[in-house]
Amino acid sequence: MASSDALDTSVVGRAFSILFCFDGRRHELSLAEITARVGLPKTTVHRLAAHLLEQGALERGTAGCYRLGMRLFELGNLVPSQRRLRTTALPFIEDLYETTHQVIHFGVLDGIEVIYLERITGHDGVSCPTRIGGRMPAYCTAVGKAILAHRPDAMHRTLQAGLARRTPHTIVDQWRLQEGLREITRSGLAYDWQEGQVGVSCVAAPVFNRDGLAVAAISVTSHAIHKRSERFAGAVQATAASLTRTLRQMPDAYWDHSDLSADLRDGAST
Amino acid sequence: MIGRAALLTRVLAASARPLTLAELTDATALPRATVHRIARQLADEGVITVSNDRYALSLRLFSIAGSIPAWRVLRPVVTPVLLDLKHQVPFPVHFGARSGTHVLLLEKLTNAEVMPWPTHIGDRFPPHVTGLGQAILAWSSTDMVRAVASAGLPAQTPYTLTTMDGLLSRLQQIRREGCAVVGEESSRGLTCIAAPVFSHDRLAVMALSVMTPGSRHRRHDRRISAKVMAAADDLSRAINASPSAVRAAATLLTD
Repeated sequence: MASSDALDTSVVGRAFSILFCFDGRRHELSLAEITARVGLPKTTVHRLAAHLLEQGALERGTAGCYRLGMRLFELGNLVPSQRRLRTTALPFIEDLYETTHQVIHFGVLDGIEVIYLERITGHDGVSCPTRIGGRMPAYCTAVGKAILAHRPDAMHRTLQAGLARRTPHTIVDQWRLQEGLREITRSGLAYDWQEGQVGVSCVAAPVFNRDGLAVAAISVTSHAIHKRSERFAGAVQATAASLTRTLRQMPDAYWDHSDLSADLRDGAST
Repeated sequence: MIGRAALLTRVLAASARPLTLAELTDATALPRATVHRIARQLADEGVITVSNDRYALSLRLFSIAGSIPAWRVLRPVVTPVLLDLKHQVPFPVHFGARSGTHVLLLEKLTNAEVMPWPTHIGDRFPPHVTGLGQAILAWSSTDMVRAVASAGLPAQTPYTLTTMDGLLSRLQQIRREGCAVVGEESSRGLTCIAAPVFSHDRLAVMALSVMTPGSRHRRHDRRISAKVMAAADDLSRAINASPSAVRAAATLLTD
């Protein structure tokens, strides 16, 4: 029994390691490329890939390559924690877009990273490489800082993990970051001046759950050169406040999946 | 093993709240020890979270969903066009693609003012009851229409097209008019106006639509259908202007 258990463990683990090696930069991978990335024997990868094809988790691409299957798209969009919050937030996000005509981000904290649940952009939005479901370190984004400023637990873990420079403007000094976060707590507004990506500046405001815990943030992203982030601050703050009010009125059942990740839950309980 | 892990994941995805081991065991009809073992393995991979002995899907799967090429590459092209359309018509706007014999909702935009619409990105619909589906089928091969029909044409309202003949004559009408006007065929009090989006050829796998409140007996507003068709043309042009978008659209054609 013990040996079959060990074998089974590796099957689920290996299957997911195959799915996780599609990183978004490469849409299609050959069997040889997957094999190299996951470090498993080619026959094993081939067999697992056949199972994943059967489940619709993988699809056949061009020239015998594999790509992620649309079944995963459906499944991922069903993940209840994001689905509920995103559905509630979407109309607010779109109204903020109508007001500003800039790129709008809506993200939650997952560990010490921000994960974007929604991103809306029109024809003339600033180009930035973020995507729905994508991640960024929290300390160098407006969305992340807006949440961190109200979450000492996550801030502590961020400092422990260390601050890496992503652009010449990234705040990598612990004291400066903490001072900045204190200011964000006071003002309710977080700015990112090209700290995550050169050429882009953002302004964000936090969204709270009914327990007063900052669970998400909404931001307006624009060209840094136009220095317009302050102009969008009022709209961002009003949108975040409306969404917070709406969330506060949600019934108990709404919050069953409000713990978006294990980290978030741990943070809430400490 | 992978099949059982997939089953567990689907059960968790369908649940409105985190599930206990007993509930998971019931829902999957697998032995309790097996469910426990697979759940632990999925938790090790970060795919599910466990809290107070309850299991839920984590955001990891949501992240994977966001990296599907058809979504990652197409969405930046699709959303601006949908935003423009939504700006002109004060109703929810949808974008979907055929996936096998179903229609998959890939994007949805809505306003705070309009009535809440119970659709979600990632939802699957039978094509014969929806505007998106009919618009796509109207520019699909006869074999595809036959495949959809042979999967069954169940009625969702008294107005649903439930026969192959009825469906074929509707599709002909849609081809003539350039857009699908689907009145109360999926739910009462709802009319859907949809137009096809083309990538590399004159067969459609994608479509966009506007959901309007209204009875099928009321004459539909031609101004709305004109805007839907114009937006669909804009989107077809935008996709064809981008080789990567054309490639991404091609990944939708898995049959």
